[in-house]
Amino acid sequence: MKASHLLGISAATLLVAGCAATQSGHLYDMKTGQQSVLHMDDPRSTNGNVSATLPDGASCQGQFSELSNENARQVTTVQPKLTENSVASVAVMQCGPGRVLRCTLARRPWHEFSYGECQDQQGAAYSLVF
Amino acid sequence: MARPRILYLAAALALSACAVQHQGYLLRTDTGQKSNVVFRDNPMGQNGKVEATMANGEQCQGKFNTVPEQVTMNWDTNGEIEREDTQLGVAILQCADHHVVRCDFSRAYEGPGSGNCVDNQGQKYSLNLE
Repeated sequence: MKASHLLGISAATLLVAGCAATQSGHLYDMKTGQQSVLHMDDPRSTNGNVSATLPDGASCQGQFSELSNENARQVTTVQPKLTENSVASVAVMQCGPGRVLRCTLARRPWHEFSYGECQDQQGAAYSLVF
Repeated sequence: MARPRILYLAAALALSACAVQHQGYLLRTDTGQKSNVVFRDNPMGQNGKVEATMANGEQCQGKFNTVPEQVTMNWDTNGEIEREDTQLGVAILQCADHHVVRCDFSRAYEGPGSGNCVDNQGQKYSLNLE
């Protein structure tokens, strides 16, 4: 195979990998101070998959999608600071039987995520920074 | 080989030179005790690392991230954001023994700003950035 072909394949692979990157954030239980990690797939996209491990070990899987600031305020109980020049997304994750974690996330348009707030249906609150 | 190494070193130095550091302090709202805090911006001025030394000597480290609040648009390039005049941000500091401090702040492009912080023990602080 010619070197130029190899170079082209490498560039294409890097391009695809770059577009489908994963972004990791730190999730803090604001009651216990324990920390865990959250992963966003394809974080520059308007929607995608999200996964997290809560500080108590629960494994969470779900999806995120972009929506207006106003709708984000209406569909979740957590309210991170949003502005006219930021974009809101909501992530909903299943963390085992009967446990749902809802997050509101803020970011720059077409950029990766900046920060967020999460809460489960028992009221446990988590802060999130990327 | 020596020339690429020198170029990499020069690039690294240039990037580190662009990383701006902003001093500030946290004021405990109940006692008025002052703790020093440093925000170390990444070259893009959108996120970075934050460090604090609490009044009792406790060392805290963490990350911060922002979204644009007020912006200057460049109408020659389809209204792209030319400059983020002010930003809203979240900083989360991890201290000793699961002690976590979360700050919501607003700052100007040049760095000065203010905010409110709360830790997982319920203690509140005011944040000032110089």
